[in-house]
Amino acid sequence: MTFPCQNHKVKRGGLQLTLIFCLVFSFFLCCTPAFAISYTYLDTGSQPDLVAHTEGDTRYYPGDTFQMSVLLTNKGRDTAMQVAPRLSAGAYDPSTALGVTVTPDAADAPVTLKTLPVVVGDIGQWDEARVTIYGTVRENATPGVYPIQIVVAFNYVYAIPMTDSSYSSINKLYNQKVQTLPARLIVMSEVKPSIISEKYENMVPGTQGYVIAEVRNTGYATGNKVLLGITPSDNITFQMVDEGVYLGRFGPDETASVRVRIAVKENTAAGSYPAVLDGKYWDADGIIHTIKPVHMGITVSRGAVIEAITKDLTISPGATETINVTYRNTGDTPAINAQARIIGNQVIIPVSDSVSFGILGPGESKTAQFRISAKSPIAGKKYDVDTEVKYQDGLGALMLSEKMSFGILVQKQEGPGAILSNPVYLIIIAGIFAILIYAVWKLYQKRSLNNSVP
Amino acid sequence: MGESLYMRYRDWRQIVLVFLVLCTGAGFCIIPCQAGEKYFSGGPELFVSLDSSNELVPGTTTDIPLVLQNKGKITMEFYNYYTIQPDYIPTTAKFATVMLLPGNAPLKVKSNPQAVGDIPAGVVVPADFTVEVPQDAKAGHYLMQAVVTYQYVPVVEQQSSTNIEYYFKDEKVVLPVHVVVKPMVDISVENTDSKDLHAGGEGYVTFTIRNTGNDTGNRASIFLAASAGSPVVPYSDGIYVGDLPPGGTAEPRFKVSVSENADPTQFYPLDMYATYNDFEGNTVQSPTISTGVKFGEKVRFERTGPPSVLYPGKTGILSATYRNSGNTTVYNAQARISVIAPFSSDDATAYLGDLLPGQSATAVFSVKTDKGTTIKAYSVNSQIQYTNSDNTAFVTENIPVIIDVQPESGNWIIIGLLLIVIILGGAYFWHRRKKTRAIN
Repeated sequence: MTFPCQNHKVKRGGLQLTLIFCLVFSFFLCCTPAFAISYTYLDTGSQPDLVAHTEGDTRYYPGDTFQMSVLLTNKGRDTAMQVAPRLSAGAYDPSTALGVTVTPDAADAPVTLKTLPVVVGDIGQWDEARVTIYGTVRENATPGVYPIQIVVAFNYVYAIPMTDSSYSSINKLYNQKVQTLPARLIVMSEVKPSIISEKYENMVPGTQGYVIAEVRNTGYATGNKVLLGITPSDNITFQMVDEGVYLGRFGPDETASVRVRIAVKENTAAGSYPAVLDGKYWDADGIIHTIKPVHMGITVSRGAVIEAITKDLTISPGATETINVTYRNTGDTPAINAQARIIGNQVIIPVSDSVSFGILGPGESKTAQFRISAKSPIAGKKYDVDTEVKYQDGLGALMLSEKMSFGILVQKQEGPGAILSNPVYLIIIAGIFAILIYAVWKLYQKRSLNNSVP
Repeated sequence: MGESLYMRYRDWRQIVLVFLVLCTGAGFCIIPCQAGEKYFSGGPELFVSLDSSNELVPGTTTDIPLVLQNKGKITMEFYNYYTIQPDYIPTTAKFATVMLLPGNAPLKVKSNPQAVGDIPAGVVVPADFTVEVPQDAKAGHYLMQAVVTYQYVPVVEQQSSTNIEYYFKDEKVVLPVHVVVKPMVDISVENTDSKDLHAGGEGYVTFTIRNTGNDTGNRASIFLAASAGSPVVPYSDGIYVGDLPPGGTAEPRFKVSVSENADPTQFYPLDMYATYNDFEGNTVQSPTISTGVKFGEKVRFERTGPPSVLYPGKTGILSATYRNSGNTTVYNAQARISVIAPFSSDDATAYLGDLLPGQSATAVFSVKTDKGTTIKAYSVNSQIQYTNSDNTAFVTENIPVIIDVQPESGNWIIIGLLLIVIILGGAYFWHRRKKTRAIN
């Protein structure tokens, strides 16, 4: 900076001019913005203007639980401003959204929102804030594009009038603004099988059977190359033989039958066991989708349960006798081509050991006749005899019942035979015979003596 | 020279004057920068929201991320050259501490109060809390309370152009936090039927389950799992029970086995839970509950009666009487002996039939004793095979049967015949003597 009073040639009036110049210069120095950087804004109607953009993929399927990220941007801007040297820096900007609160509203979208009003603070002009909206798409949602309303509420300062004559105070005037911003959510269509009915064929322990599920596509998508299967949750009790079916095309409201073959572990208790209907399909764009599992039950029957009703039989030792053994099917499926067999031992020897009695229906009893003999038995002992029944199940598979037992009591003979076989009785009889013989001999001797006396 | 001095003096005065004017101008410039503002405000205005879903799941421990926002507004500012710029803005919540209280929500807050520092106006501050939602928490909408304590400066008094004094005020606000406890299926066991179940056996346990929750369990399955170390083990883990509405019951029946050494005086634990489709169609698992299963004592048999007597070199009858000394009826019981030298048998099994508790049955076996067998008592192994009510076969542990080997005794028939011969001989001699007397 150069200064004009540089030599002695300055006249007296020049000093005064110099002073005036310096004062004016000092005044300008006071007004220089570089020393008090603040601005005020002309009343051009500036205010915050928020816009919402959803981030990422907002396509969801019915039943999905989602977290949708929404980016809020303040596009409000100031179109004119002036330097406000006496205002502290950053005191006021009409384009700043103050204390922004975001409230999502599902409107007509088939979703359940699980987000409270969210506070995001101040959003200055061209600034951004991000909120996450939590929710679930309803199970029965119709595919389509749905708006989610993002209601943002905030304040902004719309004016700062000077309130006294000295212009040393300002009064901030706030406005509240509520904006409803649209965000987009897309509900996609899918293949959604629903079970109409379930049937079971020969699902009994120890063999294989079929589970048949009639399903309807209650979704809105057409699946191509559809594969459906039934998967039991217990893969020890159940072993898949045929895991699923190929349906090809499966359009909305179409029905199909899913028939799978499953082996049931032996000794499995009758009941309904958890399983899921699942699968996959190709959509029209060739993208593979997994079908959401549908819970179902696999009902296992008791099957044909054969019991030997006969517990105790009695035979005599030595003789070949006919015994009647009664069997009952206490299960819930018939035993086809049932054939009973008894298994002897060293003492009880079957002469005829097998009897066929055709179909033994649930709750039905039939009696089989066998001929047995007891070889050198102990009289009075109850011998055990094993028996089993061979039959065919509903699918023609050969089944064998659990081994059953019944007792055969070998009873001592009664009457003369029983007496003659008893040594004590024999001794007594021998004694009686001896006495009788003696008596007869005595009588004979007496008569002979009488006859010899003249 | 005098003019020169005057001129010199005048120049010096001029320079000083210019310097003073410039200093004055510089002072004007500097003063606004040192001036301050005085604020008027209602103080901090705090709000709270959740940075997550407000849905809480019973039986879980969940984080609740709170977000605090200060919406405090300055309504008026005074400004002059002599005001000292205060250090504290009245809208700033200082030294804020947040405490989350359950309010009317049925849950426990596990976190201590969180110090979040200063919260200036327009700023959001996070505060994370951990809550535990009890398993039996009733579904519904609840209001938790976020209690925020802080200080702020409502009044600033400037004593002079160089002194300023702050007055801090303690403030406490209670902010509602809206949470939703999700409807869930919550199962409880009302009855357990485990009759015919005993230690060392297997059988069925039928549970009466009630849905005490608020959601309908669509296509529900009940799962049973053995607790760690429990002697009761399920054969299959799940039973499908279909739809289970709130208050509804189901009676899943599970096949289980019980360890042989399990104590029948104890209830042993089992874990149980349900899986189902919830009201939103999602597959959900209910909270796991524990239940106890009672069972009877182990099936026991005892041998009663005197030991059987056998003779060396002879085939004799080994008779053993077994008593069902347990509390369980056994079916189709068969006794089997295992003999080793000096015994042998080809008739080692006997049928006992059904035995009620306390009932006895005798098994008879034909056993041959070797010649030269030492005269003493022997123990022979025996076992009983039986079935339970479900026709499952079991075999007992060894039940010793005592055989008393004694010296061979005389034959009763021979003794009898000898007696007859003696009687007949006596009768003959009596008759001879009588006859001799008569002749004499």
